[in-house]
Amino acid sequence: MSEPQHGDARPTHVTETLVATGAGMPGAFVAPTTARLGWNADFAVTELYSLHYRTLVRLAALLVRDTPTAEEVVQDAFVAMHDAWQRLRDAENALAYLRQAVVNRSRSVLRHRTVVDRNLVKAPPDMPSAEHGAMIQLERSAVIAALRGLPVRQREAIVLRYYADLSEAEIAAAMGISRGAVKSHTARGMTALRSALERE
Amino acid sequence: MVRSGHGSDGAQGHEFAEFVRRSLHAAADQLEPSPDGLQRIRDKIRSRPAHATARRFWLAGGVSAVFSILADLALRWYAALVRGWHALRHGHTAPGTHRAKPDRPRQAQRPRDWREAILRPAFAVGFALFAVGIVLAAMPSVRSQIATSIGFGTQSSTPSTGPGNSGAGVLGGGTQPGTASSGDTGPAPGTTCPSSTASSQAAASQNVKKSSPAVQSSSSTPPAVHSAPAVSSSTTGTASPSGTATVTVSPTVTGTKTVTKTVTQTSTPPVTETKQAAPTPTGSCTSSPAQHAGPAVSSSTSKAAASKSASPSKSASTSASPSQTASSSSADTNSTNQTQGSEPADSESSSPAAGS
Repeated sequence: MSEPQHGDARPTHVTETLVATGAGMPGAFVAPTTARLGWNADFAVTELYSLHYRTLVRLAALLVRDTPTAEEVVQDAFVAMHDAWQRLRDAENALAYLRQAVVNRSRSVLRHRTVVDRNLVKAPPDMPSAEHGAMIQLERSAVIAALRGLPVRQREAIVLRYYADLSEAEIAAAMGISRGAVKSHTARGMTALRSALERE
Repeated sequence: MVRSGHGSDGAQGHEFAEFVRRSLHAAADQLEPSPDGLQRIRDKIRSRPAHATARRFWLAGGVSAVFSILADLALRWYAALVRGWHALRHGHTAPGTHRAKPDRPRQAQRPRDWREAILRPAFAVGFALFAVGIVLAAMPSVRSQIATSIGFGTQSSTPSTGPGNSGAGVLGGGTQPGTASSGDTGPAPGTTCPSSTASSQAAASQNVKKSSPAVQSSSSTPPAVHSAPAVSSSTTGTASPSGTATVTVSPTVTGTKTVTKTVTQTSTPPVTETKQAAPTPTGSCTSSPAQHAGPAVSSSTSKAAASKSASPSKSASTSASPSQTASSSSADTNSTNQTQGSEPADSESSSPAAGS
């Protein structure tokens, strides 16, 4: 890993170094190659939070379509990662664990939301929901709107592929499916997305 | 069927994929998560350990109870088997005769088998573990009180493991990174208490500040969190500027076997360092330079002295993780010293404490 060029303000800690080199920028889903063994759970949470929290929240927001819920999902994933750190013991594993936890929890949220919506008495139309403001930003994009119409698996595959820039193997691990299924979901999702955008 | 996610036509599919990628990034990158995410995660983690520990204790109690029941069943089955075998043997030796009958009373009077004898103690141990688990699980405040009364809370987290184990303390906050460095390099034996502590803390605070501001706020968390196993040993006051740990050292220590072993588990640094340190048995801050070398201080002294000096740490560690003390009961001082050198303090020792 390259050393930061800050002269006097040279970071002395691994976190600072990673942040200084831009490892925490959006899209940096691959953990930087640094000595990460020997972290304890608390330290790992702090480090991974500084590196990946924002990106994971955005990923979750694309899946669950609302920011507060996305934050909840990611925070729960971090808590679970903290509990499972004895088993993970490595940042690479932890990141994969976080991704998978985010995807699974997002799926659970959507499932729960479906059940709630099914049994919910419809509110008056002039009464915006609490997440309305947070959703507006996402809804502006036609692609995002079209993405909403896709089945959950296809949406997950597309988001993980084209937003998180993960490989098929990583997507397969995060979604808990085979690589062939990832290809299938991605291809069908893209076809459906294109046709939806063309209709508009 | 469409293959590989690029659509039916290659070039257009690629362009469309790029378009989707750009759109997703443009839409998602507008979202900014709230800045208190780390604090919320800490709160969630802090609220969980009680449950996790309770679960652990319940599990231990349940397992011990199940084991005692299984032991009872096995012993009964074994006794019945032996009895049947004896009956069968007598039946073969004296077929058709009734001479076996007079022998029966003699068999009944024979002393009980030792396996049967340990049945009740096994039950008692199982029940005691179960009860202790219930009590500790039901009253987490008792644990924290015990920890604070021992002086466990006065120390900020000390080096638990080797490199980077600093534990940027989601829970414990503060001090961690610095402690890691101190654990690695190991302050020179000659250094004085305050200087080493100050340096480590300075580094710690620096790191903490840069990595995550919220860490500092969490420094007020319960002592058990800091738990860092090493706490106890380094005890000696290296970690805590106040030196309260030293104070606790001398008084209570009875120097039982358990004590020494606990020290072993908690202490990180190798034995060799401690031997070089060659401190005085008293764990006061004046002797701290030598004690800085780590928990091993105790080992450098004579056996008796060592056991005494180790005792405070023992008490601390016992409060932190009861399971360790239970396991340690069989070891003696010498063996502990050896293990100290070979066995690095692993994060596990910190985890239970973190759990509490």
